[in-house]
Amino acid sequence: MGCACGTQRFAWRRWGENGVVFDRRYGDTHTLSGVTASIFEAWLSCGSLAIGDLAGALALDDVQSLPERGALNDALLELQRRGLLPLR
Amino acid sequence: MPDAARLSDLALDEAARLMRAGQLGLQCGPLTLSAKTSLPDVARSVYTLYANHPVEVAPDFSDFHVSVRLPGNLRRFFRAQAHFFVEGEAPFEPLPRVQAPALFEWGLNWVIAAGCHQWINIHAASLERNGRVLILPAPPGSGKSTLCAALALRGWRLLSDELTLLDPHTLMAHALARPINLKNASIELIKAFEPTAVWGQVTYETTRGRVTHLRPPRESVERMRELARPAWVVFPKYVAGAEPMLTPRDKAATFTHFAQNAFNYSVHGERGFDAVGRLVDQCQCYEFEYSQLHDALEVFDWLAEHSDEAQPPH
Amino acid sequence: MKPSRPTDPPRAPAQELIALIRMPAQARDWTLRRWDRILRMARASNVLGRLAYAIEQASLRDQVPERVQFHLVAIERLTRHQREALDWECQHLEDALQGMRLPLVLLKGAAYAKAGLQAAQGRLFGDIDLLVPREALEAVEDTLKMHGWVRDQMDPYDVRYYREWMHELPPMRNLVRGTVIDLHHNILPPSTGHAPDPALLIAASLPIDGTCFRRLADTDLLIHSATHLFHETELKNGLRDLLDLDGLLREFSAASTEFWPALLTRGQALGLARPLALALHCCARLADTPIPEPVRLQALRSAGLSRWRAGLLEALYRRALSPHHELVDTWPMHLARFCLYVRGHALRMPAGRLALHLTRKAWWRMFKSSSRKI
Repeated sequence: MGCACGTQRFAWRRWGENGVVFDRRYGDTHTLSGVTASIFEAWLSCGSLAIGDLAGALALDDVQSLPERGALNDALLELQRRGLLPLR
Repeated sequence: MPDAARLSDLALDEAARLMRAGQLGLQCGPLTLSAKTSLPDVARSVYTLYANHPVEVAPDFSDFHVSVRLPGNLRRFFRAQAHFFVEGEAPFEPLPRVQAPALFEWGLNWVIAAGCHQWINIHAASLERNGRVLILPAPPGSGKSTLCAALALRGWRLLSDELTLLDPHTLMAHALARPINLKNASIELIKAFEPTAVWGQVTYETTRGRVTHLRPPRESVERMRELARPAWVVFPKYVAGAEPMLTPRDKAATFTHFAQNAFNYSVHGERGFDAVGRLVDQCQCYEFEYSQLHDALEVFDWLAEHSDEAQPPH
Repeated sequence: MKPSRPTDPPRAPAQELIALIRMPAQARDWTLRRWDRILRMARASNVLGRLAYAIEQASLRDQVPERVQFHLVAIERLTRHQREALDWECQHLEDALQGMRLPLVLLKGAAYAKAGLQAAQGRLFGDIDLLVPREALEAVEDTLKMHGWVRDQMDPYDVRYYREWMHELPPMRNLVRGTVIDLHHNILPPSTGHAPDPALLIAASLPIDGTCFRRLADTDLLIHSATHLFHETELKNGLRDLLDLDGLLREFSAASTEFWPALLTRGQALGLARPLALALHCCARLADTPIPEPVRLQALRSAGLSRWRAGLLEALYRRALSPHHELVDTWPMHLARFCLYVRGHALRMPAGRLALHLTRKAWWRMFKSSSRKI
């Protein structure tokens, strides 16, 4: 499971804060906004589900603060809930 | 194929006779629509609303063959109904007999939405000015149809009031220049706005209020074979007493709206995703709040003149 | 729909369509008027997609008038979309059902498509038909319900009709996508007395690579298609089904010299020699399918079908499979369709119930304000 799989399965467009995804496996289109959009884009580029890796891909220096980590985690869960990201 | 005359070049009797025989082809944009009916009120309505459209008598080739007739069962006699058919199939339930002329228009909308998958078909009004197209998507009650009618009557070329048709590769917009569907207070508003405009004979009482159709301006019909490039997407919102306000709209939200409100977005699959993405890239996207029709016209005219300068942030 | 005397002699419209699909090159210098007529026939028979495919395969699309190309492109978009949608839906079904470790046998169009058979090309797909062991039906139904499929509302008569007489459950619709799945436990209603042993079908089924699904063996796929057509009551898709059969026969017989004897033997073993014989006879006569004459005659003999009776049914089907369109409908066609409609229902249920069922349908049609078929 990694970058190649992600780009094979998904087509992704982004405008500013928000983006849209086409899922080739199910023919579904999704709208993603804010942190969720960023996390998805980060996953597409690095293929890892680890918060540290995703934060790195987002060029965030430090994900020490709890609210920040929490927001990233929530976004990850949301994407998994929608079937866009694999479960760990 | 002989040079196409206009429907108004025929006498009403002759047009009605041709429609009874299923020999009248109406040309709307690139489509030839063969219209068959024995119902005199439908014939009269078509004659009025499509007066400026080119016609073909006994066309060699029609893209769609439609008819409006009485049902075959006992409902032709009591609580009479009218039924719309395309190629012998009835896509929806019959309506009360008195609504037969409106049924013809609504049926044609369905036929084009369901049968023209070579285009991307978005539920929105589209009008052209200076070679560029304005797309007006909007949920019911936003005043889109009133705006569309007003713009069409003030120098914007009408492409469609309901079905924006785009080539999925070039994104160029096609025009059908068909009659505009108006409801309730819009009817009086536009009658006051343009007293010389021509309307269908009857107003219909439906579950959504009074409904009638407005004949498209002659120039819109004469130029209906010209394609044009979409440049603006504006979501209008009528707010009583509001000052006119044009604000940039998020492109991802615009994309999402199109994906949800295109009649055949999903038919195009990933190609639809790609095309709508490019459409949203190439257009300036706005939300527009207004309460006065003349304010709205001023703003859209400004857009048409100045849009090269206007670069709203994304 | 009143039948009318056609203005052009119909020249066996079904044959005209079949001939065009076989050899699209003959249409090179057709007039627009002729194209108008054939496109309407093709649409009415649900074979427009197949025609578009044939024209594309013969590299003739650019030589066809532009106004015609418009419609070919439209139907190609639609058939391509439906093929994609089938793949997406099968993915959802797989997600829901693969943990069940059951044979899941796709039937008809879905099977042709997933197995990569020629018969799927240019075809429109509707519901997905799935055959499962009878004892597993309830479990499969429950699993589907957990994944968002629901039973449509039906009137009580129809519910009883399904439960008592039919070989399938009432259709289940997915709440989110609106797609429909028909669960089967046999390929024919048990009430007919002709239904084959489904265990035989499942035992002989083949896996479909890359999926958790299976499909019927070649002979069984063909026999099912034959049974479906020659027991059918509403023949609107009849010509399409005949072309399916023709496509399958050509593909399977080309792949193996053993196919013909295996097919006849299997027809006997499943107790379905009669519809098979009818299928071979009608395909040979109506669709020009290359079936060896000894095979056709042997099939008729094995089925106990006299030449007279075969000829009669052939004549009925020749008329009934014509496009259902006011341009070509004639009284003989309507009569033929009516005869086969009754025959189809007669095959499904004992004579006593038949009259009651047909009367109820007719009464409903007279008074309903809806045009929906029942």
